[in-house]
Amino acid sequence: MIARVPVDTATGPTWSRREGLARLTDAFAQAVVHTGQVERTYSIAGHSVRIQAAGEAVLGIVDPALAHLAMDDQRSPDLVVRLWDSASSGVPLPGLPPPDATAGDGDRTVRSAYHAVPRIMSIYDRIRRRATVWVPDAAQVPSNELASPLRTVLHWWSRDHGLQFVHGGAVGLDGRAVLLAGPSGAGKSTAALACLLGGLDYLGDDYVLVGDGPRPAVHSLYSAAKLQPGHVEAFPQLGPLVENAHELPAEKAMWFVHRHFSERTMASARAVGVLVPEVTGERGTTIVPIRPAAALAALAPSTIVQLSGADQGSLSAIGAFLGRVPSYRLRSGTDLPGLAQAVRRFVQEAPEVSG
Amino acid sequence: MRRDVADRYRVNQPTVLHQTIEGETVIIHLERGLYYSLDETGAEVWEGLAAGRSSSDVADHLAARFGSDRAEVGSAVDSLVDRLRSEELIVPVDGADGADGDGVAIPSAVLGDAVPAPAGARFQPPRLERFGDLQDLLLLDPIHAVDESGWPERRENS
Repeated sequence: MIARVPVDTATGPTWSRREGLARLTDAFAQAVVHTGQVERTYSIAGHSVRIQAAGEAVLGIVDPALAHLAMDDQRSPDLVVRLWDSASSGVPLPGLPPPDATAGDGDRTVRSAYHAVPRIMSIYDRIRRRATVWVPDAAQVPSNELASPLRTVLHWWSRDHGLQFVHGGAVGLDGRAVLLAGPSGAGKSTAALACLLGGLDYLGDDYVLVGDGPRPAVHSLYSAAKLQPGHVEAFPQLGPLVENAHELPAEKAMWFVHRHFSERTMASARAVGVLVPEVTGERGTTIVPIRPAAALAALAPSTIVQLSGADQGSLSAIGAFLGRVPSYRLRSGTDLPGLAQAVRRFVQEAPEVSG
Repeated sequence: MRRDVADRYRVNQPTVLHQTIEGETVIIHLERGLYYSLDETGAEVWEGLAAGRSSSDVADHLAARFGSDRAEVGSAVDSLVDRLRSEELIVPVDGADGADGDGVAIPSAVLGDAVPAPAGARFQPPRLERFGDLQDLLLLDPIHAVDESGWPERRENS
């Protein structure tokens, strides 16, 4: 029986995360000898993030979802992620470091997490802002991971920049955007895609970053979009563009928006509202104010239970954002162009949120 | 009136997270994958308890705010406290001074001198709603599944 133990806190002797990071990074260096190293740099929330991948197959885990944020910048990056797999390189996951009686409560400057399904080992040095991530086989990474790669590391890194990873989408226009907040099944993806096809710009449908500050902001992470297979028929022009047709209907249908709508992705925007979708079954769409606690209940729990290392600080950050940016129910109608129009009008007419 | 100094609680941290926004509270129980909302009266009770007030003090305060019958308010507060305990959201603390509260600074408008409720407002028993729709998410994605030494079990030399 696998015990559910938070990896980042421990009592008693445990393995040294700093030693674990060193071993994982050494293994990355060995992997690169076999595969060569390819690099890409992306701008996330205005910060440069460099991926150093042990081979093209490994780069292929992250580049499709992040490509809309690619930048050509040779300056020293804010975050470096070394990414490798055992299948391409022939290098196994290194043996675990020995128990270290001095590790005690865990070195808080190094974070680690192991996802069992799919298998992903992530370790992050908060001081140097360097992470190493391992998967067993780049070719076997499932599509739902390809849609939102490196969530764990990007969550940890973004926290150190005062940004909060949230389970939500966003769409916008002219530098202004709305967060689409709610758990799976609420209609975020349908709303986001309807808005994209209705002429708005796309920041994501599943995860984005939000930031407080003088002007609350929302930042794109991934250009992927996913829909339940049964909902794809509502978007006939998207059907032929599905990336993972071979996985349907067992998995959600997935697209990379920038591949087909490259000018319609948006990296960052000022947040002017939080919309909580609700499927009504009616034809028309309306947008009505709600109390911020309702938006908090829609946004925070699904965010926090999914993110390694999410804690009271995460919840407080989400609360602070919702205390500034007004919340609404997006009563989503079946007329999807009409939904897009309603959201567009909202984005254009909502007042700016100021300090 | 007997003030029972043993009747103090603290938030069941770090397992339980909470956030009050415009007078309503959202609570998340990380281990069980459940989340809750408290209406405004419930949020006042919660914030009072989290600040280290006894449930008796909290009931006194609410009865004064609404000009309501102390016994009726006390019974409603006790009911909520029982429910919060059974859901493992709060745990009792010992100690004469009950100083194990959350340390959250409570502005006096929330729980200091009793600010009278708006004219005509009547005390309504606090409401706690529970939501279980995320439990499957927690069980399906064992982010924290590790062996006892904290490293994944290596099953193959791939």
